[in-house]
Amino acid sequence: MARTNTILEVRNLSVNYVTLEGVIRAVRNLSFKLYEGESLCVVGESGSGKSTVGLAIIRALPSNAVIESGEIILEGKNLLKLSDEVMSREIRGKKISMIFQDPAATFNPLFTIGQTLSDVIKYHLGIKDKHELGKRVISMLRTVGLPDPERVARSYPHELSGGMLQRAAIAVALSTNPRVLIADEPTTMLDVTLQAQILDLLAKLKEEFNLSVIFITHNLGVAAEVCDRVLVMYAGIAFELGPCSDVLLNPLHPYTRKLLECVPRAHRKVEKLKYIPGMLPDPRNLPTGCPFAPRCDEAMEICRKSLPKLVEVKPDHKVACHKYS
Amino acid sequence: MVFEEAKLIFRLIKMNPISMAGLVIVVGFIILGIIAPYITPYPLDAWGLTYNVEKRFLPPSLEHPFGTDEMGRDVFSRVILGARFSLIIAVGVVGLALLIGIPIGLIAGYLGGRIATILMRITDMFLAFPPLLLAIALAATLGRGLINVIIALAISWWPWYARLIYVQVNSIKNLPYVDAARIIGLTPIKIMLRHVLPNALTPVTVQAALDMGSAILEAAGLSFLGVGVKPPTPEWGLLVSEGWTSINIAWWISLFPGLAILITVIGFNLLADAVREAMDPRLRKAIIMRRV
Amino acid sequence: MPISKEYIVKRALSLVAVVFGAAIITFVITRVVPARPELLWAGPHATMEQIEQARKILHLDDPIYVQLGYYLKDLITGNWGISWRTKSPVLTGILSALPATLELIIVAFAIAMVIGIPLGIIAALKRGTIVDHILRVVTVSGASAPVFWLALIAQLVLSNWLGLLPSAKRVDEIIVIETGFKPITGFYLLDSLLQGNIPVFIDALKHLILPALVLSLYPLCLSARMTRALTIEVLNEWHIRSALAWGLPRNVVLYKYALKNIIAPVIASLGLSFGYTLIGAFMVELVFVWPGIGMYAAMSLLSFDYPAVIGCVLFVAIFYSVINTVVDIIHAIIDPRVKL
Repeated sequence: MARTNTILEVRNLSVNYVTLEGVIRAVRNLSFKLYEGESLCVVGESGSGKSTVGLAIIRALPSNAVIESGEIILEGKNLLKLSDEVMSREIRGKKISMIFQDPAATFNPLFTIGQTLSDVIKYHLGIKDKHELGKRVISMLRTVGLPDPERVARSYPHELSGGMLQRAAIAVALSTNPRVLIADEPTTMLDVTLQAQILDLLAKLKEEFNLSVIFITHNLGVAAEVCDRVLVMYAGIAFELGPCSDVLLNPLHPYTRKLLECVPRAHRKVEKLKYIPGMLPDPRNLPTGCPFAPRCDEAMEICRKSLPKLVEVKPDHKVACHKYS
Repeated sequence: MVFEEAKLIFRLIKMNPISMAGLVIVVGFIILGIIAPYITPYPLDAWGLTYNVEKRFLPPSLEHPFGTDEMGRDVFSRVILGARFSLIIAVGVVGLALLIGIPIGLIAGYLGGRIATILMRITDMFLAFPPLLLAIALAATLGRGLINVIIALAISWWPWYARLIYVQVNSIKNLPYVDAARIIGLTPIKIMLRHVLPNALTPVTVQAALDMGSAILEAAGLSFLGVGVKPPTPEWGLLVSEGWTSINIAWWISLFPGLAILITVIGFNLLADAVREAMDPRLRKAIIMRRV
Repeated sequence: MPISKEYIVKRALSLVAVVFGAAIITFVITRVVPARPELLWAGPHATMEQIEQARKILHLDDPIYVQLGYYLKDLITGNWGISWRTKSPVLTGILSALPATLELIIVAFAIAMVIGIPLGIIAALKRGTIVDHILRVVTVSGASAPVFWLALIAQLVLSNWLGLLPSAKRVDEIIVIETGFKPITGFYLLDSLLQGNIPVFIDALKHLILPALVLSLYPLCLSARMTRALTIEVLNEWHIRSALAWGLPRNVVLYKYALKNIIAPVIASLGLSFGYTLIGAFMVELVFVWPGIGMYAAMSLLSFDYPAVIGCVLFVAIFYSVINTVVDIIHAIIDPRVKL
């Protein structure tokens, strides 16, 4: 994997949500690089802020979200400084595309798959000819492995299964030839066999379309299969960032280690399922210091006082933990 | 559990001044309706028992803030007492409609099958009439009068509540926790009713309480058309229609009762909006997260 | 998009069933509920012979199911009774009053939708701002106002005091006679245009505008509030977010996609809105002396003309059911999720 070029860089990103009962700091000071051609997995529990990262990059956050600070650099330009119109015209679809968690909710229920797909192709590639559009729609649907593309194109979302819809969503996302694909938990709502199929499909398409992928998931097993590098997030901050095999086989951060211990192994007999005691901190009342400190059995005095920073401990393997600083 | 809900909703309402205004109006109306007979400045006028030729058609003044009508009666007193009648009608209509509709909806929802189909078909037959139309027919048949108005409106209203309850019970029936209760071994009928019933009833009763505003509007409409309460009952709709013939020389007779209806119904509608927003699950999430 | 012939047939059959049900209910109300139905039917000024005659006409000495049979037969053959107020058949009276009401309702409804829906969208887009709050107060007030009172006050202020608009009827008789206007369809606006009769057109418009505006207030406010809620909901849905994420231009997403998601439920609710407007028309027509079904019914109510009242009730119920069926079919065309 030629990790020479950085295609996308996130620097000091902070995103807040404004709610009735307070401000939620979903992402705090996050920094990472996405190298060209790689698969970066963002792993974390629900509420760790991982989905917010994806939505922030493509600027499709809910209306109560505020990007407090940071930069997102793509091809030398800071995306956060671009107007929404420019984002829509030049970035979304053209450079960065996204697929979402719930394939059934991803498509507008009042339009057929074909209509949605052809609209995306039409507005992006400027193709107006109906025949040409039709051909591209069918070919795109076939590329994602749908056996009867004509029928799928004619169907409405409620007439198709989750697996088919997710394939169709991938078709739409890739129809505009983006360079970066953000996949937000694309297999979470699918059963295991479908999961494997979709992951295979994504791997194949990644090669074919020469994509760089940000793969967001809470499932370590999926991450292990898919990623080149892993970013572990917790309560809005990055705990560990490094090559997949490194992080998953020799985790440096106590949280990552605990996380891996919780994964039940099929070949070992287990008396009790392991879990990490305690709960995620209240996002409105984040403790000063390391957010994992209350649940960490290696916590030190300093952990409760100050937030650890991401430092490179091994080549290309960064950790945010006071053990290493 | 229900009180927790109520406290939550109240807090949310307090946060919005417009919603608060609605609550104030509704509470004010209810209080006014209860104490009305005791605070009217001219009680005999209010009940329509007087006829003062010299005092006819007096414009609004200090002694008569809303002026006097064609019988020389103080309009202000009549409007105040009208609140009592509107309250009676509102509570009566909604109460009676619930009394008829809830059992029917419950039976249909719980028993399902043929009986449900028949009951719901009957409900549909009633719903073929636009609001008030059936009440007009009934009121024309039964004749004028307070009780008849309440009956007529309640009969045209119960299908809504029956249907609401039916849908509620149906959806609750299939919820996992009902299955869980059955699996644990709780005796089906009695304890299911204790789980299913409160949850099914809550949205409907809330809806009904807020519907009282519409009841007032519809009753006023019936009175205006001449099939509502009997004169000289000072019901607001009837007051408006009584002032109609002399509206050119005494606009105050029709204006103020109508204004009373407007303000009261606004109050109910604002409150209904606020409660609906407060019960919206998405807003809930924001509050629940604090608890966690 | 596609709906099958079967669906339309199913809805038509359902319509017949609903109308049948409404007829049954009306039968129960008019024959079973009252102790002496013939008294109601003959009217308050009836003589003994007229009351006896009413008994015969209603077949009151026959068992209930026979009465029902005659009743249904009469309904279908158009024999809806004689209005003793106008001395002419009820059905004829209703049908001749129909165009006036239709014209009023159509214009009122059009105003309500054309103003109400965009207002709702604006309120949603400007959610939380002053504009939104003002619109909220205005739409709630409009939806809370008693129609008859509004009609009275509007007539008082705009017609009687300010003299801006005429206060009654559909058209000035003098202008009609002078210009030789002849109604064709009964829709004066249409007819005057068809005949190139501009003075009558303008005059008819002047007469129409005030009652139509008053009548439109309630459905306007209702649709504005509903549209506002829907717009907020739709704009937060995942498929809108994904459409944006895939790079579709924002105005395409708003005007082609979101708008359709908003309009579909609004159309589905049009039926009920229409029902309220129908009843509102009764009161507006009464106040503005608009010679439509509403006034026919209201006058019948005021003079205790029972057959006419019941005839109107039944007619309006049937009309309402037909409208609802049409609305359902339109909704099914737009929303493919509707179970066929």
